[in-house]
Amino acid sequence: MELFQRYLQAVKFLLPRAQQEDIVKELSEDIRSQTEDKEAEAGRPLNEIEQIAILQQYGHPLIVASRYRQAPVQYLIGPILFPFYWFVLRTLLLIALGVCVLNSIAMLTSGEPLRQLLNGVPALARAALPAFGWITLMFAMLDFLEAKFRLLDRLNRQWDPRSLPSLPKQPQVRRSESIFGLVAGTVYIIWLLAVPYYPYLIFGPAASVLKLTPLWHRFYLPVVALGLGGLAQTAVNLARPDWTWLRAATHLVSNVVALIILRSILDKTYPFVTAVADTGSAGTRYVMLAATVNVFIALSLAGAAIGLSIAAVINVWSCLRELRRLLRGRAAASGTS
Amino acid sequence: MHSMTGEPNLFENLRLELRRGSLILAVLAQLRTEQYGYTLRKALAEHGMEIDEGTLYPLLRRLESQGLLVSEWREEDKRNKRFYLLSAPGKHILKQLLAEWRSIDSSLNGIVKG
Repeated sequence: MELFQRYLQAVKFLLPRAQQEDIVKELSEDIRSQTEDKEAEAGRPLNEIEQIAILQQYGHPLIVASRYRQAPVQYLIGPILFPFYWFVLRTLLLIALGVCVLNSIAMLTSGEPLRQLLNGVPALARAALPAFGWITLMFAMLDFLEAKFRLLDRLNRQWDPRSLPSLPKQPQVRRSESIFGLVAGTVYIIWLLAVPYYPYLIFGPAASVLKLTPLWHRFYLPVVALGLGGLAQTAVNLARPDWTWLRAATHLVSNVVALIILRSILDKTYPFVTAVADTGSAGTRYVMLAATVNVFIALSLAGAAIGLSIAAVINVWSCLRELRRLLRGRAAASGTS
Repeated sequence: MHSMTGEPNLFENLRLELRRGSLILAVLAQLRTEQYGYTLRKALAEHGMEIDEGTLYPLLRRLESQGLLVSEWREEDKRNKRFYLLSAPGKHILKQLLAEWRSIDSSLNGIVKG
Protein backbone atom coordinates (compact mmCIF):
# COMPACT_ATOMS: atom_id res chain seq x y z
CA MET A 1 0.00 0.00 0.00
CA GLU A 2 3.02 2.26 0.41
CA LEU A 3 3.18 2.49 -3.37
CA PHE A 4 -0.37 3.86 -3.46
CA GLN A 5 0.48 6.44 -0.80
CA ARG A 6 3.51 7.56 -2.80
CA TYR A 7 1.36 7.82 -5.91
CA LEU A 8 -1.29 9.92 -4.17
CA GLN A 9 1.40 12.17 -2.70
CA ALA A 10 2.84 12.76 -6.18
CA VAL A 11 -0.58 13.56 -7.65
CA LYS A 12 -1.45 15.85 -4.73
CA PHE A 13 1.66 17.96 -5.28
CA LEU A 14 0.50 18.74 -8.81
CA LEU A 15 -3.14 19.54 -8.05
CA PRO A 16 -4.71 22.99 -7.57
CA ARG A 17 -4.19 23.77 -3.86
CA ALA A 18 -7.85 24.39 -3.05
CA GLN A 19 -8.92 20.96 -4.32
CA GLN A 20 -5.94 18.87 -3.28
CA GLU A 21 -7.48 17.15 -0.23
CA ASP A 22 -10.82 16.48 -1.85
CA ILE A 23 -9.45 15.01 -5.05
CA VAL A 24 -6.85 12.86 -3.32
CA LYS A 25 -9.49 11.54 -0.90
CA GLU A 26 -11.70 10.51 -3.80
CA LEU A 27 -8.82 9.01 -5.77
CA SER A 28 -7.69 7.12 -2.70
CA GLU A 29 -11.20 5.72 -2.21
CA ASP A 30 -11.34 4.61 -5.86
CA ILE A 31 -7.97 2.88 -5.67
CA ARG A 32 -9.01 1.18 -2.44
CA SER A 33 -12.33 -0.03 -3.90
CA GLN A 34 -10.58 -1.36 -6.96
CA THR A 35 -7.92 -3.10 -4.88
CA GLU A 36 -10.54 -4.73 -2.68
CA ASP A 37 -12.43 -6.02 -5.71
CA LYS A 38 -9.27 -7.51 -7.19
CA GLU A 39 -8.23 -9.01 -3.85
CA ALA A 40 -11.66 -10.59 -3.47
CA GLU A 41 -11.30 -12.10 -6.96
CA ALA A 42 -7.81 -13.43 -6.27
CA GLY A 43 -8.55 -14.44 -2.66
CA ARG A 44 -5.26 -12.88 -1.46
CA PRO A 45 -3.63 -9.46 -1.06
CA LEU A 46 -2.30 -7.91 -4.28
CA ASN A 47 1.40 -8.24 -4.93
CA GLU A 48 3.58 -5.35 -6.09
CA ILE A 49 3.22 -6.13 -9.80
CA GLU A 50 -0.57 -6.07 -9.51
CA GLN A 51 -0.43 -2.79 -7.61
CA ILE A 52 1.79 -1.33 -10.32
CA ALA A 53 -0.74 -2.46 -12.94
CA ILE A 54 -3.51 -0.54 -11.13
CA LEU A 55 -1.44 2.64 -10.97
CA GLN A 56 -0.39 2.34 -14.61
CA GLN A 57 -4.08 2.17 -15.46
CA TYR A 58 -4.58 5.52 -13.68
CA GLY A 59 -1.60 7.02 -15.49
CA HIS A 60 1.38 9.20 -14.69
CA PRO A 61 0.72 11.72 -11.87
CA LEU A 62 1.37 14.59 -14.31
CA ILE A 63 -1.36 13.36 -16.65
CA VAL A 64 -3.83 12.61 -13.87
CA ALA A 65 -3.34 16.03 -12.25
CA SER A 66 -3.53 17.87 -15.58
CA ARG A 67 -7.04 16.52 -16.15
CA TYR A 68 -8.27 18.32 -13.05
CA ARG A 69 -7.07 21.67 -14.32
CA GLN A 70 -10.22 23.16 -15.72
CA ALA A 71 -10.71 25.51 -18.65
CA PRO A 72 -9.76 28.07 -19.75
CA VAL A 73 -6.67 26.38 -21.08
CA GLN A 74 -3.64 28.60 -20.49
CA TYR A 75 -1.62 29.65 -23.52
CA LEU A 76 1.32 31.96 -23.76
CA ILE A 77 0.36 32.64 -27.37
CA GLY A 78 -3.02 31.26 -28.34
CA PRO A 79 -4.12 29.68 -31.63
CA ILE A 80 -5.45 33.00 -32.99
CA LEU A 81 -2.17 34.88 -32.87
CA PHE A 82 0.15 31.92 -33.27
CA PRO A 83 0.20 31.91 -37.13
CA PHE A 84 1.24 35.61 -37.13
CA TYR A 85 3.83 34.98 -34.44
CA TRP A 86 5.26 32.07 -36.40
CA PHE A 87 5.31 34.13 -39.61
CA VAL A 88 7.24 37.00 -37.95
CA LEU A 89 9.75 34.60 -36.40
CA ARG A 90 10.34 32.75 -39.66
CA THR A 91 10.71 36.00 -41.61
CA LEU A 92 13.28 37.37 -39.18
CA LEU A 93 15.15 34.10 -39.16
CA LEU A 94 15.29 34.05 -42.96
CA ILE A 95 16.54 37.66 -43.11
CA ALA A 96 19.19 36.90 -40.49
CA LEU A 97 20.25 33.82 -42.45
CA GLY A 98 20.40 35.82 -45.69
CA VAL A 99 22.63 38.45 -44.08
CA CYS A 100 24.77 35.69 -42.57
CA VAL A 101 25.20 33.97 -45.96
CA LEU A 102 26.15 37.25 -47.67
CA ASN A 103 28.57 38.04 -44.88
CA SER A 104 30.09 34.59 -45.20
CA ILE A 105 30.51 35.01 -48.96
CA ALA A 106 32.14 38.40 -48.40
CA MET A 107 34.49 36.94 -45.75
CA LEU A 108 35.41 33.92 -47.84
CA THR A 109 36.17 36.00 -50.93
CA SER A 110 38.31 38.35 -48.88
CA GLY A 111 40.42 35.41 -47.75
CA GLU A 112 39.32 35.27 -44.09
CA PRO A 113 40.04 31.89 -42.45
CA LEU A 114 37.16 29.45 -41.96
CA ARG A 115 37.57 29.74 -38.17
CA GLN A 116 36.70 33.41 -38.38
CA LEU A 117 33.63 32.48 -40.38
CA LEU A 118 32.48 29.99 -37.74
CA ASN A 119 32.69 32.71 -35.09
CA GLY A 120 29.72 34.26 -36.85
CA VAL A 121 27.41 31.42 -35.75
CA PRO A 122 27.45 32.19 -31.99
CA ALA A 123 27.25 35.90 -32.87
CA LEU A 124 24.08 35.19 -34.86
CA ALA A 125 22.64 33.20 -31.94
CA ARG A 126 23.48 36.02 -29.50
CA ALA A 127 21.63 38.49 -31.69
CA ALA A 128 18.72 36.17 -32.52
CA LEU A 129 17.85 34.98 -29.00
CA PRO A 130 16.97 38.41 -27.51
CA ALA A 131 14.99 39.20 -30.69
CA PHE A 132 13.14 35.91 -30.28
CA GLY A 133 12.47 36.78 -26.61
CA TRP A 134 11.15 40.27 -27.36
CA ILE A 135 8.90 39.07 -30.17
CA THR A 136 7.52 36.30 -27.95
CA LEU A 137 6.89 38.77 -25.13
CA MET A 138 5.17 41.20 -27.51
CA PHE A 139 2.86 38.51 -28.88
CA ALA A 140 2.16 37.14 -25.38
CA MET A 141 1.06 40.65 -24.33
CA LEU A 142 -1.08 41.01 -27.45
CA ASP A 143 -2.67 37.66 -26.71
CA PHE A 144 -3.36 38.69 -23.12
CA LEU A 145 -4.98 41.94 -24.30
CA GLU A 146 -6.98 40.10 -26.93
CA ALA A 147 -8.33 37.69 -24.31
CA LYS A 148 -9.02 40.44 -21.76
CA PHE A 149 -10.77 42.94 -24.03
CA ARG A 150 -12.18 40.43 -26.53
CA LEU A 151 -10.56 42.35 -29.38
CA LEU A 152 -11.31 39.64 -31.90
CA ASP A 153 -15.02 39.66 -31.07
CA ARG A 154 -15.10 43.41 -31.66
CA LEU A 155 -13.24 42.96 -34.91
CA ASN A 156 -15.67 40.27 -35.96
CA ARG A 157 -18.66 42.54 -35.31
CA GLN A 158 -17.23 45.28 -37.52
CA TRP A 159 -15.91 42.96 -40.19
CA ASP A 160 -17.11 43.43 -43.76
CA PRO A 161 -16.29 40.57 -46.18
CA ARG A 162 -15.75 43.16 -48.94
CA SER A 163 -12.61 44.25 -47.12
CA LEU A 164 -10.97 40.89 -47.91
CA PRO A 165 -7.78 41.17 -50.00
CA SER A 166 -8.19 40.36 -53.68
CA LEU A 167 -6.92 37.04 -55.00
CA PRO A 168 -3.22 37.00 -55.94
CA LYS A 169 -2.49 36.88 -59.65
CA GLN A 170 -0.37 34.05 -60.91
CA PRO A 171 3.11 35.63 -60.79
CA GLN A 172 4.67 36.06 -64.21
CA VAL A 173 7.64 37.84 -65.72
CA ARG A 174 6.10 40.61 -67.79
CA ARG A 175 6.55 40.20 -71.53
CA SER A 176 7.59 43.85 -71.88
CA GLU A 177 10.29 43.29 -69.24
CA SER A 178 11.64 40.26 -71.13
CA ILE A 179 11.64 42.06 -74.49
CA PHE A 180 13.38 45.09 -73.02
CA GLY A 181 15.89 42.81 -71.25
CA LEU A 182 16.55 40.95 -74.47
CA VAL A 183 17.14 44.13 -76.51
CA ALA A 184 19.20 45.87 -73.82
CA GLY A 185 21.15 42.68 -73.09
CA THR A 186 21.97 42.14 -76.77
CA VAL A 187 23.17 45.74 -77.15
CA TYR A 188 25.25 45.34 -73.98
CA ILE A 189 26.86 42.10 -75.19
CA ILE A 190 27.66 43.59 -78.61
CA TRP A 191 29.15 46.64 -76.90
CA LEU A 192 31.14 44.41 -74.53
CA LEU A 193 32.49 42.29 -77.40
CA ALA A 194 33.38 45.37 -79.44
CA VAL A 195 35.14 47.30 -76.63
CA PRO A 196 38.56 45.53 -77.01
CA TYR A 197 38.64 46.48 -80.69
CA TYR A 198 37.08 49.92 -80.43
CA PRO A 199 38.29 51.66 -77.22
CA TYR A 200 36.29 54.69 -78.39
CA LEU A 201 33.21 52.84 -77.15
CA ILE A 202 34.43 53.15 -73.57
CA PHE A 203 36.59 56.26 -73.54
CA GLY A 204 34.90 58.33 -76.20
CA PRO A 205 37.18 61.07 -77.56
CA ALA A 206 39.75 60.22 -74.83
CA ALA A 207 40.38 56.84 -76.48
CA SER A 208 43.40 58.25 -78.28
CA VAL A 209 45.10 59.15 -74.97
CA LEU A 210 43.77 56.50 -72.49
CA LYS A 211 43.80 52.71 -72.54
CA LEU A 212 42.62 49.94 -70.22
CA THR A 213 45.26 48.21 -68.07
CA PRO A 214 45.80 44.39 -68.29
CA LEU A 215 43.77 44.09 -65.05
CA TRP A 216 40.59 44.01 -67.12
CA HIS A 217 41.66 40.96 -69.11
CA ARG A 218 41.23 38.77 -66.03
CA PHE A 219 37.63 39.84 -65.56
CA TYR A 220 36.58 40.29 -69.14
CA LEU A 221 35.38 36.73 -69.78
CA PRO A 222 33.43 36.39 -66.46
CA VAL A 223 31.71 39.71 -67.21
CA VAL A 224 30.79 38.53 -70.72
CA ALA A 225 29.56 35.23 -69.27
CA LEU A 226 27.38 37.12 -66.78
CA GLY A 227 25.89 39.19 -69.58
CA LEU A 228 25.18 36.09 -71.66
CA GLY A 229 23.61 34.39 -68.63
CA GLY A 230 21.26 37.34 -68.14
CA LEU A 231 20.43 37.35 -71.84
CA ALA A 232 19.62 33.62 -71.77
CA GLN A 233 17.36 34.15 -68.75
CA THR A 234 15.34 36.90 -70.44
CA ALA A 235 15.03 34.76 -73.59
CA VAL A 236 13.77 31.77 -71.60
CA ASN A 237 11.38 33.98 -69.61
CA LEU A 238 9.98 35.39 -72.82
CA ALA A 239 8.94 31.85 -73.75
CA ARG A 240 8.09 30.77 -70.18
CA PRO A 241 6.91 33.86 -68.28
CA ASP A 242 5.67 31.63 -65.42
CA TRP A 243 9.25 30.60 -64.56
CA THR A 244 9.70 33.48 -62.14
CA TRP A 245 12.11 31.34 -60.11
CA LEU A 246 14.58 31.47 -63.01
CA ARG A 247 14.68 35.28 -62.89
CA ALA A 248 15.17 35.30 -59.11
CA ALA A 249 17.89 32.62 -59.23
CA THR A 250 19.75 34.25 -62.16
CA HIS A 251 19.67 37.66 -60.51
CA LEU A 252 21.01 36.22 -57.26
CA VAL A 253 23.81 34.27 -58.95
CA SER A 254 24.71 37.34 -61.07
CA ASN A 255 24.76 39.51 -57.95
CA VAL A 256 27.02 37.16 -56.04
CA VAL A 257 29.42 36.60 -58.97
CA ALA A 258 29.54 40.36 -59.67
CA LEU A 259 30.28 41.03 -55.99
CA ILE A 260 33.10 38.49 -56.03
CA ILE A 261 34.55 40.12 -59.15
CA LEU A 262 34.23 43.61 -57.66
CA ARG A 263 35.79 42.44 -54.41
CA SER A 264 38.88 41.16 -56.18
CA ILE A 265 39.11 44.29 -58.35
CA LEU A 266 38.79 46.68 -55.41
CA ASP A 267 41.11 44.60 -53.22
CA LYS A 268 44.09 45.48 -55.40
CA THR A 269 45.01 49.06 -56.06
CA TYR A 270 45.70 48.56 -59.72
CA PRO A 271 45.25 51.50 -62.01
CA PHE A 272 42.21 50.78 -64.15
CA VAL A 273 43.38 52.93 -67.05
CA THR A 274 46.69 54.42 -68.06
CA ALA A 275 47.72 57.16 -70.41
CA VAL A 276 48.87 56.00 -73.84
CA ALA A 277 52.67 56.41 -74.11
CA ASP A 278 54.19 58.80 -76.53
CA THR A 279 51.60 61.45 -76.17
CA GLY A 280 54.13 64.19 -76.68
CA SER A 281 54.19 67.41 -74.68
CA ALA A 282 50.69 66.86 -73.34
CA GLY A 283 51.81 63.60 -71.66
CA THR A 284 51.69 64.94 -68.08
CA ARG A 285 48.18 66.23 -68.61
CA TYR A 286 47.04 62.81 -69.84
CA VAL A 287 48.65 61.04 -66.88
CA MET A 288 46.64 63.31 -64.60
CA LEU A 289 43.52 62.62 -66.64
CA ALA A 290 44.15 58.87 -66.23
CA ALA A 291 44.55 59.33 -62.43
CA THR A 292 41.22 61.22 -62.28
CA VAL A 293 39.48 58.56 -64.33
CA ASN A 294 40.95 55.89 -62.03
CA VAL A 295 39.50 57.59 -58.95
CA PHE A 296 36.16 57.99 -60.70
CA ILE A 297 36.11 54.28 -61.67
CA ALA A 298 37.11 53.21 -58.13
CA LEU A 299 34.28 55.29 -56.63
CA SER A 300 31.79 54.01 -59.20
CA LEU A 301 32.77 50.40 -58.50
CA ALA A 302 32.46 50.95 -54.73
CA GLY A 303 28.98 52.42 -55.29
CA ALA A 304 28.10 49.47 -57.52
CA ALA A 305 29.27 47.07 -54.79
CA ILE A 306 26.93 48.70 -52.26
CA GLY A 307 24.04 48.60 -54.73
CA LEU A 308 24.76 44.96 -55.59
CA SER A 309 24.86 44.00 -51.89
CA ILE A 310 21.41 45.51 -51.33
CA ALA A 311 20.14 43.83 -54.49
CA ALA A 312 21.62 40.51 -53.30
CA VAL A 313 19.64 40.71 -50.02
CA ILE A 314 16.47 41.45 -51.98
CA ASN A 315 17.21 38.59 -54.36
CA VAL A 316 17.86 36.16 -51.50
CA TRP A 317 14.40 37.06 -50.27
CA SER A 318 12.91 36.59 -53.75
CA CYS A 319 14.60 33.21 -54.11
CA LEU A 320 13.28 32.05 -50.74
CA ARG A 321 9.80 33.20 -51.75
CA GLU A 322 10.07 31.33 -55.04
CA LEU A 323 11.34 28.24 -53.23
CA ARG A 324 8.42 28.38 -50.82
CA ARG A 325 5.98 28.76 -53.71
CA LEU A 326 7.60 25.82 -55.48
CA LEU A 327 7.41 23.60 -52.37
CA ARG A 328 3.81 24.59 -51.72
CA GLY A 329 2.92 23.82 -55.33
CA ARG A 330 4.52 20.40 -55.02
CA ALA A 331 2.79 19.70 -51.70
CA ALA A 332 -0.56 20.72 -53.21
CA ALA A 333 0.10 18.53 -56.27
CA SER A 334 1.03 15.51 -54.14
CA GLY A 335 -2.00 16.15 -51.91
CA THR A 336 -4.36 15.95 -54.87
CA SER A 337 -2.69 12.94 -56.47
CA MET B 1 -2.10 8.80 -51.43
CA HIS B 2 -2.05 8.69 -47.66
CA SER B 3 0.31 6.79 -45.47
CA MET B 4 -1.31 3.90 -43.60
CA THR B 5 1.04 4.13 -40.61
CA GLY B 6 -0.81 6.93 -38.82
CA GLU B 7 -4.26 5.38 -39.14
CA PRO B 8 -4.58 3.46 -35.85
CA ASN B 9 -3.77 6.66 -33.94
CA LEU B 10 -6.07 8.67 -36.14
CA PHE B 11 -8.89 6.22 -35.54
CA GLU B 12 -8.24 6.26 -31.79
CA ASN B 13 -8.32 10.09 -31.72
CA LEU B 14 -11.53 10.25 -33.73
CA ARG B 15 -13.09 7.51 -31.60
CA LEU B 16 -12.26 9.45 -28.42
CA GLU B 17 -13.69 12.62 -29.93
CA LEU B 18 -16.87 10.79 -30.89
CA ARG B 19 -17.22 9.22 -27.44
CA ARG B 20 -16.53 12.41 -25.49
CA GLY B 21 -20.00 13.88 -25.89
CA SER B 22 -21.71 10.52 -25.47
CA LEU B 23 -19.87 9.92 -22.19
CA ILE B 24 -21.37 13.05 -20.66
CA LEU B 25 -24.78 11.82 -21.69
CA ALA B 26 -24.11 8.37 -20.24
CA VAL B 27 -22.81 9.76 -16.93
CA LEU B 28 -25.75 12.14 -16.53
CA ALA B 29 -28.24 9.37 -17.35
CA GLN B 30 -26.56 6.91 -15.01
CA LEU B 31 -26.63 9.42 -12.17
CA ARG B 32 -30.40 9.65 -12.14
CA THR B 33 -29.80 7.27 -9.24
CA GLU B 34 -27.18 8.20 -6.66
CA GLN B 35 -23.79 6.51 -6.95
CA TYR B 36 -20.19 7.02 -5.98
CA GLY B 37 -17.35 7.06 -8.49
CA TYR B 38 -16.26 3.47 -8.40
CA THR B 39 -19.76 1.96 -8.69
CA LEU B 40 -20.65 4.49 -11.39
CA ARG B 41 -17.65 3.40 -13.44
CA LYS B 42 -18.58 -0.26 -13.00
CA ALA B 43 -22.20 0.42 -13.96
CA LEU B 44 -21.14 2.26 -17.10
CA ALA B 45 -18.72 -0.56 -18.02
CA GLU B 46 -21.50 -3.12 -17.62
CA HIS B 47 -23.47 -1.16 -20.22
CA GLY B 48 -20.49 -1.15 -22.58
CA MET B 49 -19.43 2.44 -21.84
CA GLU B 50 -16.00 1.91 -20.30
CA ILE B 51 -14.42 5.05 -18.93
CA ASP B 52 -11.08 5.31 -17.19
CA GLU B 53 -10.65 6.88 -13.78
CA GLY B 54 -8.54 9.71 -15.14
CA THR B 55 -11.44 10.82 -17.32
CA LEU B 56 -14.37 10.09 -15.03
CA TYR B 57 -13.40 11.99 -11.88
CA PRO B 58 -12.41 15.26 -13.57
CA LEU B 59 -15.64 14.98 -15.63
CA LEU B 60 -17.72 14.52 -12.47
CA ARG B 61 -16.11 17.63 -10.95
CA ARG B 62 -16.74 19.65 -14.07
CA LEU B 63 -20.38 18.60 -14.25
CA GLU B 64 -20.78 19.41 -10.58
CA SER B 65 -19.18 22.85 -11.00
CA GLN B 66 -21.63 23.47 -13.86
CA GLY B 67 -24.49 22.68 -11.49
CA LEU B 68 -25.60 19.53 -13.28
CA LEU B 69 -24.65 17.21 -10.41
CA VAL B 70 -24.70 17.45 -6.65
CA SER B 71 -22.38 15.48 -4.42
CA GLU B 72 -21.88 14.69 -0.77
CA TRP B 73 -19.36 12.76 1.30
CA ARG B 74 -21.10 10.02 3.25
CA GLU B 75 -20.05 6.98 5.20
CA GLU B 76 -20.83 3.58 3.68
CA ASP B 77 -19.38 0.29 4.85
CA LYS B 78 -17.37 2.26 7.43
CA ARG B 79 -15.70 4.25 4.62
CA ASN B 80 -16.17 7.79 3.45
CA LYS B 81 -17.35 7.96 -0.15
CA ARG B 82 -18.43 10.78 -2.36
CA PHE B 83 -21.88 10.19 -3.79
CA TYR B 84 -23.10 11.97 -6.92
CA LEU B 85 -26.65 12.60 -8.06
CA LEU B 86 -28.22 14.42 -11.00
CA SER B 87 -29.44 17.86 -9.89
CA ALA B 88 -32.72 19.51 -10.98
CA PRO B 89 -30.97 21.62 -13.69
CA GLY B 90 -29.08 18.44 -14.62
CA LYS B 91 -32.35 16.60 -15.23
CA HIS B 92 -33.55 19.41 -17.46
CA ILE B 93 -30.32 19.47 -19.46
CA LEU B 94 -30.29 15.68 -19.73
CA LYS B 95 -33.77 15.77 -21.24
CA GLN B 96 -32.65 18.34 -23.82
CA LEU B 97 -29.45 16.49 -24.58
CA LEU B 98 -31.27 13.19 -25.06
CA ALA B 99 -33.65 14.84 -27.52
CA GLU B 100 -30.67 16.30 -29.36
CA TRP B 101 -28.89 12.96 -29.36
CA ARG B 102 -31.95 11.20 -30.81
CA SER B 103 -32.17 13.86 -33.50
CA ILE B 104 -28.47 13.45 -34.36
CA ASP B 105 -28.88 9.67 -34.36
CA SER B 106 -31.83 9.86 -36.71
CA SER B 107 -30.08 12.35 -39.03
CA LEU B 108 -26.94 10.25 -39.11
CA ASN B 109 -28.91 7.11 -39.87
CA GLY B 110 -30.54 8.92 -42.76
CA ILE B 111 -27.18 10.15 -44.06
CA VAL B 112 -25.44 6.80 -43.67
CA LYS B 113 -28.25 4.89 -45.38
CA GLY B 114 -28.00 7.54 -48.09
